[in-house]
Amino acid sequence: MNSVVEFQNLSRRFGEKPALSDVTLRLEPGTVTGLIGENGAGKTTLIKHALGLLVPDSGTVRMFGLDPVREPVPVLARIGYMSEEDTLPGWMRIHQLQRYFQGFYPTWDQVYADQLCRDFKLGPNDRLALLSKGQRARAALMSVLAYRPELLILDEPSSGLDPLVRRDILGAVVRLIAEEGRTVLFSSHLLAEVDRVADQIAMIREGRILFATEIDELKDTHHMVTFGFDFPRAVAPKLEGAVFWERSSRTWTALVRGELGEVEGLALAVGSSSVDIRAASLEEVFIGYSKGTILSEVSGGAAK
Amino acid sequence: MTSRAARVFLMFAGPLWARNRISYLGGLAFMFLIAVAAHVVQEVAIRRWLVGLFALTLFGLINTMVGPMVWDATTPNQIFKPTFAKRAQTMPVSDAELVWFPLLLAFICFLVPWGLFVFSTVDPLHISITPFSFFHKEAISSLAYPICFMAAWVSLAVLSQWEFGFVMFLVMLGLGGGLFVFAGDVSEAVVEQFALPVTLASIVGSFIACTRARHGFEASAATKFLNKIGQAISRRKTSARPPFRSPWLAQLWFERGPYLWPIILVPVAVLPFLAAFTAFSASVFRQGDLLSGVDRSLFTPTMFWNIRLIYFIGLGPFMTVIPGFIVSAGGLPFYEMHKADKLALRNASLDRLSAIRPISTCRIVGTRLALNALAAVLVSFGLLYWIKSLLNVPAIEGDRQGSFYELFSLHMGRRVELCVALVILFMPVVVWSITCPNPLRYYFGRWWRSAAGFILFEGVSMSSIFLSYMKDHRSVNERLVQLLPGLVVCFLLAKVLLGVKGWRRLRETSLVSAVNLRHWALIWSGVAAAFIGAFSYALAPLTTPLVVTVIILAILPVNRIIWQVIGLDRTRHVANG
Repeated sequence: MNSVVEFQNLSRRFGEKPALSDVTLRLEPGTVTGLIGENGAGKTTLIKHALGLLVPDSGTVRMFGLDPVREPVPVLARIGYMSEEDTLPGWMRIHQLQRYFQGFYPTWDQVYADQLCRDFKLGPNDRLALLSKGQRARAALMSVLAYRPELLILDEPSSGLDPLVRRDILGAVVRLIAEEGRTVLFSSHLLAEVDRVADQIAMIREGRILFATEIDELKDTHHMVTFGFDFPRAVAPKLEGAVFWERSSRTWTALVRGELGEVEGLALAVGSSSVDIRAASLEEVFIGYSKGTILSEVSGGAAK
Repeated sequence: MTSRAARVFLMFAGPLWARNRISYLGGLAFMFLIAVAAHVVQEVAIRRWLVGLFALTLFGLINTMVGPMVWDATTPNQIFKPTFAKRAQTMPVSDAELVWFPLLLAFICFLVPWGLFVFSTVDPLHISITPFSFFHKEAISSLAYPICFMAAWVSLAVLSQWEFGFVMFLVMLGLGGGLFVFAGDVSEAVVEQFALPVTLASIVGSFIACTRARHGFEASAATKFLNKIGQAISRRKTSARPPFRSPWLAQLWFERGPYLWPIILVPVAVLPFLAAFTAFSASVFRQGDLLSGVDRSLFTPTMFWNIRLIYFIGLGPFMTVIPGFIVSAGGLPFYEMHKADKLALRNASLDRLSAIRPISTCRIVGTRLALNALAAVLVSFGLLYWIKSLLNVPAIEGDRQGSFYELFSLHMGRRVELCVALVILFMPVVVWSITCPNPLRYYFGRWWRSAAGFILFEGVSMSSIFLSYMKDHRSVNERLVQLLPGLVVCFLLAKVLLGVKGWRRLRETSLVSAVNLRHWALIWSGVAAAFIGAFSYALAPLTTPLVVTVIILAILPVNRIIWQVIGLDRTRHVANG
């Protein structure tokens, strides 16, 4: 089966600054992929390449098997894109927004659009400029969902929004997946959201993909190991697979990559007075990889 | 100016300078060139034209400087998105300062070029005119009542924009133009008595309106009433409008639809002016000279069709037509680009919403060209017809009637002045239809490179046109005329080279389909035909200039099309330069 999204050795620089370095990532149909990373890590740049808004310096981008720069019409017709930026023109009213989008997408479902408007409490004559930030986000969501895109790209869609709007956005994503099996790529800082809806996760740091794996696999292979010592220890213990260390008085805590049995064996060999091992949360993995060393430098190769 | 006032001024002017410095410097350089040309050319008629051009450039320059301050900074709840207004509203300045700084600059914006206009029409037989002799005593004295009237006019227009928006601003300008013509029929003292209270009342009103807007007071009753009408119309249209049948139409509506209102409202604004002018003309014909109390040399029948009257005639409609034309032809991309709005991509006139729609770059360019071309043709023919009808008014001397060309030639005595008048009248149309948006700026990116490209490709072509018209005129330096063939050849070579380069790029990127090419060819041949028609009407006997014009207008759009597609596509995908 063809991938919906395929980045192959993608690199991009802005002046002297590398924004993406040799990124390789594939998204299969029907998957929900959470893209996480710090601010400036390259998430939005990667998404812009998927939309054809940036031309790669090297490497290739294929969306539904097509080049989004060379063939924007067939590619963009199948993508729904919503970003944290409020790009909707304030002068439009809701019914005008619907009519504008309807002109581009033959798959536009007016009944569904009206239903979404009712759910989101959007009136047809509401002017976008006069809506609150949350309501504008709902309007944007309505406009991208109503034509039932094959691929939904959300670039930090719930940034700065209240929990109710975030719930609406996530609910819509969940419905889209459950009812229609569409592909979703979304970037977010809110890891609880990613944890809730994503079935695979890709982390990007300094323009490189650190890992791209299924979320359950990620949790199974990452553990928080806390070592207790009888005296304060200045140097972190040597532990294979450790991504990140954190010191607190007489304890050292590490994010360790590896299967549970393997990690247990390695941890006991350190020789500490106590060892506590538990599954790492997504947030701990994120922080660990954000602050720690690049995975390839630690464990010998970046995951695809 | 006190240090406090200087600080406030810089607070306003700083961001404007940062954003528009290229326009300012370019405009100043152009004015310098005009001034030099005025010294080179000996003929008074051409000097007057150059003074007019100088004044128009100055008008444009000051308008660029002051415009954003007046239109954006002081319209917090009006049609245009108040990008700058929020900044202005939170500046540490008083409400009064927020009013009078823009207002002061608005006055300067209108009055300085107006002074130049008036001065340029002082009897050329007695006063030696150069662009540097603005301060002649006679010229200053003749400015007294226009200054008072213009002050009132501008104040009212600005006030109306504050309270009711840009639409009312246009209407007020049109009304002001009409009133100004009537003002020529009454005494100077009456004008001053009328103008002073109106000016003061307008300033007070402006202060109140700005204060209300700044501190979030409820909209006025009139604004509420207008909003209700708008909402009622909008509701009625909700169910009536069918879906767009194609992406092309949807994009057309998105980029131009919301800004089509000037097409209706601009003529409405111009109508009072035209009516007043016609009434004034009729009164002169029937009752003889009624201009008691006014400088007779300005409106005497023998001078009636002088070139200076073209300035008078042109000024009011220009002020109303130009903004309307810019809005309708430039539409959304123009404003997004100039507002530096976050919707617009850097150095581009393509907003993000359009960039991610499933529509090809060719289609977007085609959409814009279609509207620009249509607007250009309509405005061109509108202006042409307007001039023609005005000049076909029964002759002043006796009962003689004649065609536009015959009458004008009779009274002007020089064909060249007709050309000059037409060029001035058509200038905004030519400039905006051809340079909006400027593909060279898309492609070259940096301002100095795009400026160099513009001078090379467009400056040479316009110089060729100008010299071809002037070559038989005795006042034009023979050496300059000798340069004409060389200039034309250089222009053609440069255009052909640019065209070949652009075409090769197009083929590499596979951006153009045969259908689109035919579409664009039709659009631009229509525009070229309109301009050629306009010029040939006045210049039929001048075969050489006409041929040059035809060549230039035929080749110029082709290059524009090619580079516009390349530039917009490059912008859309933000490629490296």
